[in-house]
Amino acid sequence: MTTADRSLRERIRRLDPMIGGLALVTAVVPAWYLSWLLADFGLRGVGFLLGWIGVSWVLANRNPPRELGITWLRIIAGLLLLTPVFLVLPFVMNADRFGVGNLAGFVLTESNLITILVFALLAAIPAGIAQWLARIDVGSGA
Amino acid sequence: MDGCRRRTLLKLAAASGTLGMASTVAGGQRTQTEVTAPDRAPPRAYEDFTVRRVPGEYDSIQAAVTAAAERDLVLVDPGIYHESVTVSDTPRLTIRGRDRNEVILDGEFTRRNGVTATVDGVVVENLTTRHYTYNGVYWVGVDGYRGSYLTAYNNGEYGVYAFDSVNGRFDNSYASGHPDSGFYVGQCQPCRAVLENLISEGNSIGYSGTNAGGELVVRDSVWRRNMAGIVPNTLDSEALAPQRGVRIENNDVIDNNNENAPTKAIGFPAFGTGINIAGGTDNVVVGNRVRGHSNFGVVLVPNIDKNLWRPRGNRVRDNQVDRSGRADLALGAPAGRDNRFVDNDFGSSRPDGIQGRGPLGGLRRSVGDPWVTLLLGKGFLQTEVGNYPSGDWRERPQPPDQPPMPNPEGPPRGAVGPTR
Repeated sequence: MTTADRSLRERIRRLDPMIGGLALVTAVVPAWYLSWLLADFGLRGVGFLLGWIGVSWVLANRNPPRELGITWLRIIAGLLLLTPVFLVLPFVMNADRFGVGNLAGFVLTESNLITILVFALLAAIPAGIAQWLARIDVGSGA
Repeated sequence: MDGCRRRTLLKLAAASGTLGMASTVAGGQRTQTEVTAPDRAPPRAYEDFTVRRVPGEYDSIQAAVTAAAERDLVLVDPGIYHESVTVSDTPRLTIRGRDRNEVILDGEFTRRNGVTATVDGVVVENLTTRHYTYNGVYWVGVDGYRGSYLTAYNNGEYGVYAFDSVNGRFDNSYASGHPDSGFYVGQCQPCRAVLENLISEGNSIGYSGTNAGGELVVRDSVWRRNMAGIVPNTLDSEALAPQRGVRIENNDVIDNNNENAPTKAIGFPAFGTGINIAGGTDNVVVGNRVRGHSNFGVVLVPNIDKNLWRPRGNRVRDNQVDRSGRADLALGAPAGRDNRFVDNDFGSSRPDGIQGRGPLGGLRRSVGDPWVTLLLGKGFLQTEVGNYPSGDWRERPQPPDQPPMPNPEGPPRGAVGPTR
């Protein structure tokens, strides 16, 4: 057994069961969202599985629950920020296959700019809440 | 011409029948709409008619039309005719070219319509219209119409167009290079019309039908290299909303991703979709081959005008859909009730499991996927706020010669046959 394996097992052993359970449950939402973003690539199932495992692991290492909540909100904000990219990306990657040469005409558009702004505003909501929670945390600890 | 201006925008932006009775809700009551072709005998040949030859007897087609009586045949020799023809007083008139590819009505980018018919039963066949600022051949407010062996290209709105008209037929015709649609049937319920053996390519939309349905069948045709293929749609800017009851059967719908097609904001939101039912109800999409679309092969999507029109009660079955960029079958959210996807041969869908049975499949279909609406809505937004790719309808290529009508010297026939 390598040092890294031992370290991983040790970290899993030290996980708080309550936090671990909470992480597994709350990770479903970002995992589902990630699978939704990746569906155009045919990666819906893989996206969900990897997203669930990855987010669960990240969240499980956040303690106390307030820390977990802050991280969960930041992950949601990140996924919202990425949404406009995933809206365009499949088209960009397939444009040549479908005979579309004027990529700029489809991608560098006002509607894409507006979409980015709208999703940035949406992302600001969970990010802002996360920030507020983090400040409360800092304040109570001071 | 109000008919040409009647649409605002398509804002977001899907053998005679045995399949279907589809249900619709009207005035709070569920009613049944028969989604089949009208049951008719073949059109009968007229027996008592006069042939009026152009230019042998008349200097222009319009002069022959003006002189004609009911059921006459205006037979046009090969040549280029720089005129707009209006049939407003003589029902059941036939205007026929002797050579589909050599009898050309040319609008020279200044005249509005090639042929306009405002009386019942007018037939136009075996000729070409081009370079009109509005439409190639246009029927409005009539009972009985037929366009056969027509070629329409590079006109400023539609190629072959019937508005507020019933009991009609488009067949064996070709349309390309139109910034709205190649073929259009709008504002009729029931339309009692058949569109078959058509080729529509290089247009903004291959077939568009706003608020048109009821014994309306689009079949056995080719829709290729338009911005979007077949787009029945609901808009409040025309009467008879919502669109309901068109049967789309046995068509080849291929590669509708043409960034060089001309468009006037109508087709761009539907770019890269094969069969796109935008806010339609109780339609049947059956036995089509849909291939090579950058967004969706067959998609049902809500349409926003004054009202939000959700797709509902549509049947998508036994289609072969493949090589789509995002998903072969798609249903946008918010979807209405009772959309069904059955026995299609496809690779991917949005939402996932669109053909799934049981409560989960039903739930997915009753909700739809907001991704689909978001994506097509973004296209609409672009037409509202900025520029979008579009070719110039005046500069699209001339199509190759098309198969002519057999026996162009034969007697004229009615627009459609009598109902059986």
